[in-house]
Amino acid sequence: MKTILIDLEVGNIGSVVNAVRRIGHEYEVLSEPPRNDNKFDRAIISGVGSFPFVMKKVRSKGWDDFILSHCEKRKPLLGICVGMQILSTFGYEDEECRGLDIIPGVVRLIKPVTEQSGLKLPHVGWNNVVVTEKYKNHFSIFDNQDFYFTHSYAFNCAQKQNELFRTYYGGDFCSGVVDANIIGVQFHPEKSSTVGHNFMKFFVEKF
Amino acid sequence: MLKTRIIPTLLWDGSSLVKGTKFDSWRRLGPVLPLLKIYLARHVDEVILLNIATNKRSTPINFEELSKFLSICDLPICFGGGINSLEQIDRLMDLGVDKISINTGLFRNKYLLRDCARKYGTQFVVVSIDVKKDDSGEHICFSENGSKNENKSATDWAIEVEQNGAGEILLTSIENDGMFSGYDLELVNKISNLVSIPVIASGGAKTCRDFEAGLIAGAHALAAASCFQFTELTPKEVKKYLKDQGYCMRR
Repeated sequence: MKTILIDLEVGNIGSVVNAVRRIGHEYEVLSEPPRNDNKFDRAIISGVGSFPFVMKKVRSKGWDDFILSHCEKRKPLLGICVGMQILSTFGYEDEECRGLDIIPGVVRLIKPVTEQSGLKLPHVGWNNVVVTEKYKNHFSIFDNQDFYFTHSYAFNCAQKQNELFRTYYGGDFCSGVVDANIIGVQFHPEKSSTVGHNFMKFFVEKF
Repeated sequence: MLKTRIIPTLLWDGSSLVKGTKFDSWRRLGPVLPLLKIYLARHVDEVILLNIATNKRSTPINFEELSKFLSICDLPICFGGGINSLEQIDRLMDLGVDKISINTGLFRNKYLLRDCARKYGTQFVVVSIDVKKDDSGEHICFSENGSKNENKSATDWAIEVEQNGAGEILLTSIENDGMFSGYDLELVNKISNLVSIPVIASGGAKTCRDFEAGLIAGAHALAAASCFQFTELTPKEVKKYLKDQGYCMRR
């Protein structure tokens, strides 16, 4: 079974391809939803760019319908960075923009916190990821590990049960979300060295 | 807590590593790949790869070689040098570049930064500011690998690029580059205090104390080329030293 790597034609698809190749897992890069998804059992959506810009791409290519159907079938989905953020209900980057509403919540600038502390934005670099209590057992190998971040906006979950990871930058923010077979991470596992490689491997092989 | 990044810079002429002093007198050092593999094995935090126009003309990007480096790089890699169009940037993205660094291209096309930030997001673009002091001691921007005076103060330019969508600034002192004299701390301090985006200090670092001084001056991250290639200092030692001084460093 293969993993679909969703190519939005604005994302850092090259990094994700290289990472999946290094794992040795079978994949296919698609810039349009497949007519038949029987040979694919999971999908990764990775994005750089603004929330509204990425959502526009997602909708124009019909990826929104595909992703919703993929999740309904309980097939695993990994959203990375903006790929995670578009799983939300609304995003507030540049303008108010509807997300896919797969995991309830809103995406906002982390500025209110960092403004007080004089910290720089975007939040760039390696930062510590802590697994929330509910998921400590299942994700223990990633608990308290450093992953690479580069973003200015963060997911605010409407339901605590969807918060998977938290990270501190001037204040706590949600760095990972989960709901059954859907997982979203704010950091870039494809660029997070060994621990990132392990996370990607975990998703394509075990999740 | 966010960790301080130590970033080795690899200067490349399309086929070989090169070293210069003050952006001049370039020497060829051998292939990039072995050194890149060493840095990856030594857990550096990020890598900067700069395509250097050693003959002062712009060097075309060797995409084929670049894709080999990217296929093994499981760390963020910032690529710069000779970028002047969205088409090149699209191609770099497809290969797996995580960030791009632009200097000259922004002076030649005043919409490039805005267009790039709009398409890829601000965190993708690192604006590279290469600086020399003029006769009055003011820090002035240079383009074209240090050969062209853009008659723009570094402070004005830093403010302008931040407003137009730069995600980070790679700030290099041309006069200190390759000279093992430490960073230009006055420059680092001036620019770091002026902008709310991360500033990566570059040019001149030699000792652990030089790296620390860069942080005290306000740098968000620290880049270095010559000291990791020509002295016995390793990124690991720098990280250990900074950790002992109380800075948060990645293991």
